[in-house]
Amino acid sequence: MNPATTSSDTPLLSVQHLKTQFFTPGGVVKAVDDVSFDLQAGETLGIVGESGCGKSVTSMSIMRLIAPPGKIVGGKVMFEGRDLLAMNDNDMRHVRGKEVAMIFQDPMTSLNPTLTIGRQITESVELHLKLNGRAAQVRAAELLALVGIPSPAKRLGDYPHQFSGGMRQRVMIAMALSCDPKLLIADEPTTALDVTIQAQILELMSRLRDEFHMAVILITHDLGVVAGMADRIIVMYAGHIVEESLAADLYHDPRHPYTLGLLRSVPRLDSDRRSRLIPIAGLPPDLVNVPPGCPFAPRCTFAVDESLKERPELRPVAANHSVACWVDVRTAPQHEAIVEQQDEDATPVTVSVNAEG
Amino acid sequence: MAKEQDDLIKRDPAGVPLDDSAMDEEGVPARRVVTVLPTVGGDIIGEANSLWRDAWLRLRRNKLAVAGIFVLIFFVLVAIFADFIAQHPYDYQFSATQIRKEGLCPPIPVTPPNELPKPAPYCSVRFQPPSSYFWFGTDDLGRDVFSRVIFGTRISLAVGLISQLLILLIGLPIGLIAGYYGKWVDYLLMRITDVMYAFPTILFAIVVLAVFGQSLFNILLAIGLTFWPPMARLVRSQVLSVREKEYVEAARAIGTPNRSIIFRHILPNILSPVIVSITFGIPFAILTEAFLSFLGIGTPIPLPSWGLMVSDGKAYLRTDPTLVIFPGLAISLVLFAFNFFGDGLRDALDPRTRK
Amino acid sequence: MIQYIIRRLIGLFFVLIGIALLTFTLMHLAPGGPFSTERTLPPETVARITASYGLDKPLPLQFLTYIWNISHGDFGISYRQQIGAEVSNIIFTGFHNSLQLGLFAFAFTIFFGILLGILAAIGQNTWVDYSTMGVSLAGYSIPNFVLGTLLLIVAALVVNPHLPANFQIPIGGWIDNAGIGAIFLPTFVLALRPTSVLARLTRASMLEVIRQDYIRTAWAKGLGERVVIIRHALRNALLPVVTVLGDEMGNLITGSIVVEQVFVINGLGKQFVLSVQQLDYNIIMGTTIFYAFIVVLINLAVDILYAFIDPRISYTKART
Repeated sequence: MNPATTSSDTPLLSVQHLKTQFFTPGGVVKAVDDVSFDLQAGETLGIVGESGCGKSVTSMSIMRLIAPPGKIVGGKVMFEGRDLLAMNDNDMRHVRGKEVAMIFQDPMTSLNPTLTIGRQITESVELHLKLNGRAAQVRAAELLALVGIPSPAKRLGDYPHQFSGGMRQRVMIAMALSCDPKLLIADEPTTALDVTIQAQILELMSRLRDEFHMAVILITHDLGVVAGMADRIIVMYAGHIVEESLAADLYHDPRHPYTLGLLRSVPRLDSDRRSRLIPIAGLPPDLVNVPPGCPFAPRCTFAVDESLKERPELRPVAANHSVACWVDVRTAPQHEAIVEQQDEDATPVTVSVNAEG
Repeated sequence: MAKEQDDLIKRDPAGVPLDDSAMDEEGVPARRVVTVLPTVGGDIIGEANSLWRDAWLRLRRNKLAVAGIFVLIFFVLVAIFADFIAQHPYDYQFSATQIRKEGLCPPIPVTPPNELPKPAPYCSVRFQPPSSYFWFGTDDLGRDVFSRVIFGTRISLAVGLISQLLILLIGLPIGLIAGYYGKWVDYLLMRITDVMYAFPTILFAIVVLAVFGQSLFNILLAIGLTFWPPMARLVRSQVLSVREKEYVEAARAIGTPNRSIIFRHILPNILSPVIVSITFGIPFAILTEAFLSFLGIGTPIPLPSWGLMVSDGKAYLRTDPTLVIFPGLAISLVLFAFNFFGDGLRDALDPRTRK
Repeated sequence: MIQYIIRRLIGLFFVLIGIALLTFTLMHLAPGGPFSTERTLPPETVARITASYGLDKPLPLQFLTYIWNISHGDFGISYRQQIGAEVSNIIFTGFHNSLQLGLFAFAFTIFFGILLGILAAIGQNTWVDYSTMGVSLAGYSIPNFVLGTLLLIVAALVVNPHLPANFQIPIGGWIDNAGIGAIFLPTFVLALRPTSVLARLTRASMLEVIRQDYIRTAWAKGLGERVVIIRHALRNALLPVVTVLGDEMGNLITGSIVVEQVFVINGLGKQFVLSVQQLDYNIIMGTTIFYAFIVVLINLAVDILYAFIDPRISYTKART
């Protein structure tokens, strides 16, 4: 069809005003509400937020894997100049798995228990690369070797239950990479794994990203996971993007109170050992009856009158840095207060609380 | 101590467990679901009763189950008040004179004096069509079909309920003891259960009835003795899974006697699958009784068993199909109602399987 | 695997002994014996017949003799029904029709049960779903002897609208007299209930499986709907279905008793009912053990089949 035009000015992926809603008996859940972002070829984008913020729904919408009662109600997903949302099902199937591949959170349940690993890899290869049985087997073994599974040719005949969690996630990665995708979406790829395995998987993903020259969308609730890998980070809250910046800027110069809160609730190796972790109070809003104003306002220590009246748009505050907030957190008085309190407080760290809520 | 700390770490300040997979299958935030949990009269439902009350609320939303409940209530009322509803005894054979009086046969013409009496016009009490006197007509022996169907409700419901009680009485203790005590007790009881389980069910019921003779009581016995193994297996498997739960371990650790562990901790927690099993067992027992009676080895004549009525009517199907249709309809309706209700109950008690 | 099968076969042997013992005990609890209804016979004659069949020996000895004999394929002879005839012959003759009926019904059940279940699951909450589930609930609730009896007259009227009022079903037997075409009605009637069970179970299982993560993975690979449903969903969805197949097959074989009665089929079931009423010991024992043998064999076959469908099950203690 369209020749791939991946010049530097056309992004590989351009999500524009994406809206996805779930039509539940309790009302319409606005899971993703007007989300836009671009992704360049070879770039790694992190999407961060707590459960239910819409980050997974965003990725599933890109793949058009939203099942009823969910529905993509608006927007465009331009991939190499073509709108994925306007494609017919058949064309979309050629994109899935071939151009855009995906790995999921739980490797224990994401592999089919009744098919061999080999079969699960070869079926994509046969479908998209038109390899025949023998060649597909060879390719599958190569892929397993690539993701670091010992004696790959032998293990092709094994079933998922014969692999450990980390090994299964490697198999998932092998499956995703089997057709040389241009974009890999990783939805919480390490959340279900042990910490030591997490590091290995992240390391593997970075290495393969460079080898395959693919773009990656890394979805996680863990700021630590994206820190080392992402070029750019989007922070989502209640279905909206609240902050978008280069990875380094986000950690050193967070401009949204929510980002600030997230960072303060994560333990840091470089901070004073006596500094206290501060959780974000309260719960995310009900996405059925979203009140006007900034969705974070009820939990926000920086909130001003404006915050309760109108939702702030995402606007640039610096080069490659946008934020959706009425307040400039750097100049707000609360900022100083918190920093001071943090310094004075001499209580040792007793409870570490993750940002995830 | 260490465990407590673990728990603290896993909780956010609002006390909500942190769980990344806290999304339901559509990817809708789980918290959304929490907010729609039913509350009664504005109060948050108490913990102990909430399971049953939630189940009741879910059951009430299931239209088919509610319809089933209404039909069942109807049949229970019919069974209780059968004496008032039925116009005639179920085993009374009417005579031609009686039904002439009701105008169902042409009257015997009055013979004028000096003439030889004419033969009375033909009048049969058998196979009377439905009329205001015999709502469902009469059968091959001149008995009122409506009254027989009404009284048949008693037999069916009684067999359904009492046989399940019997099954519970046999199956529950066996399953409990086998599951709780394990070891050789379990082994022995389960081998006995295996033998019974492998016994072709209907065959066993037939042999029992042949041995002990045909009577209502023996039907109950036959069904009870035949169908307890699935109950025993169900209870055992439930006990095995509950036995390992922390609250049972805790009870054992503080020296709670076995009896109160079984009755206070295990029994209440295995109740819902047992109840569901009983709900489906009732229609099955009713069906079995009808089966056996249809074969002519169940309910003895002249008791009005629906199965027996279908069996009797079968010979006259060509001339009077109502003899099969009315009792057949009654039994189908009862089974329908129980199955609707059972489906609803199972889904209500186990929301995980709800579709 | 072979070890497992051998272990199961040994267990099966003891189960059959248990069933034989149970039946034997029950039978001899019954008042009277096979010859007690023939009042015309003088007591000495009855005693002589009883002795000649070895029925005067102590019960434990009788039982052991019986077990010894059947282990050699000797099921004894009929005392009442067809006096002197080999029970094994009687069983096999009767079983011919019952098995034919049972196998047809089983094939019907598997095909339509699973097919309807899948269709209902795919079209969840559409008219396909509602009508399939409605029919299956009806099939589950209407007793087969009621339906069979009514269908019989409908079928008879279709074939011959001018049936005489005293129409009776041919006594000689349905299948034997009317040919293979006549097997459809009994098959349908016998299979309706298990088909309904299977359809409902398949649907529920499919709906459960379709929500699983690995199905999402399959979609994400760009596979077509057919491949996702057949290769990925169906096999997993069939696991719980397979577990009930054994029970259903057992029900079909024994459940044919009633259908044989309705359609006047000379099957094993009809014979069994008759022999129970006459206390024809050897036929009762033989039929029971024979049925039980088939039921346990089917269950074993299903368990083995299960291991082939679900790779996580291994009956040896090797890998976990």
